[in-house]
Amino acid sequence: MKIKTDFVTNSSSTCFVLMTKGDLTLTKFLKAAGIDKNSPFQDMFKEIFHMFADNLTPAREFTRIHRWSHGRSYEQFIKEVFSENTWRRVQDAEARGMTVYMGDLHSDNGALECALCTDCFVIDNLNLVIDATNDGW
Amino acid sequence: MDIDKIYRYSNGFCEHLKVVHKDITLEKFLSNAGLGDGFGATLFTRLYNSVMSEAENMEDLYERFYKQEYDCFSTFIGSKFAIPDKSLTLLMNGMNESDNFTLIYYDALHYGMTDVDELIYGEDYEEKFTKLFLLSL
Repeated sequence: MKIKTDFVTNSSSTCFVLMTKGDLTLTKFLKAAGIDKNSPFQDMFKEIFHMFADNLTPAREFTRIHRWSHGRSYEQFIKEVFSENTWRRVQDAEARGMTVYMGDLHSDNGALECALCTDCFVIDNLNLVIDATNDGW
Repeated sequence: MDIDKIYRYSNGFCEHLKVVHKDITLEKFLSNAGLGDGFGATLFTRLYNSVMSEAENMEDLYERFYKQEYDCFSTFIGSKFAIPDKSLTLLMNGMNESDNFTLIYYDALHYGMTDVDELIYGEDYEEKFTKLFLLSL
C-alpha cells in the first residue's frame, strides 16, 4: 500500500466543441483569436492551440464514447452538457459544411489548461468556432 | 544567484503587493501584448480586470491617510503587511527602479478568474506578465 503524505488535490475536466471549415491550423487559430504575428504571447497561444488541436475526436463519436454519455444521443448530449445555444451553433456549423469535433480540458495539465478548463468562453470566427461554455466552476 | 529586486510580494493567501506602471490601462495592456479583437483580448481583459479592477494604489493611500502615522512609504508598507525586511527591501528596489512605477495591492479572491494567480505567476509566463504590467515588454 502506498501512503501519500503531501498534498492530495482534486482535479476535474470539462469539454469543448470545435467547429472548423477545413483543417484546423495554427494560423487559422491565431487569426480567430486575434493574436498579432509579433505578439510576445505567441507561445502562450500556440500552447492553447495544441490543447485543442491535439485533443480532437469527431463530435458524434465523442458523444457516444465519452464517460458522460450515459446512452444519450448526440443532440441530447450537447443540449444537456452544454446548452440549446451550443446545439444551435453546431447545427449552423454543420449546415455551413464545417467539421465538428469535441475534446476535453483537464485541470491538472498545467496552469494554462487549468485556467481554461475552469473558464467559460467562445471563440467565434467565420471559419473556426470553439464553444467551451461547458467549462467554468 | 542573488537578486536585488522583486516586483511582487504575496503573503501566501492570494493577497499581493505588485509593482505596476503608473500609466497602465487596459488598452495599453492589450496593445503591448499584441492582441486585437478576439478571444486573446477577451482572455487578457479578464486577466487585467482580475488584478486591476479592485486594486488599491498604495502610494495614494499612504499620501492620503497614513503619511502622518509613518515617516516613510517603506515603513508604512512593511508595517501594514508585516513583510520581512529583506523582502521589503527587494520590493522597494523594484518599485524605485523607475519613477514610472508604483505599488498596488489586490486580493486575487475578490474578483475575476479563479486561477489568475497560477496563470500570471506560473513559471512559464511570470516574467512576461511582470513586464507587461510594467509596460516594458
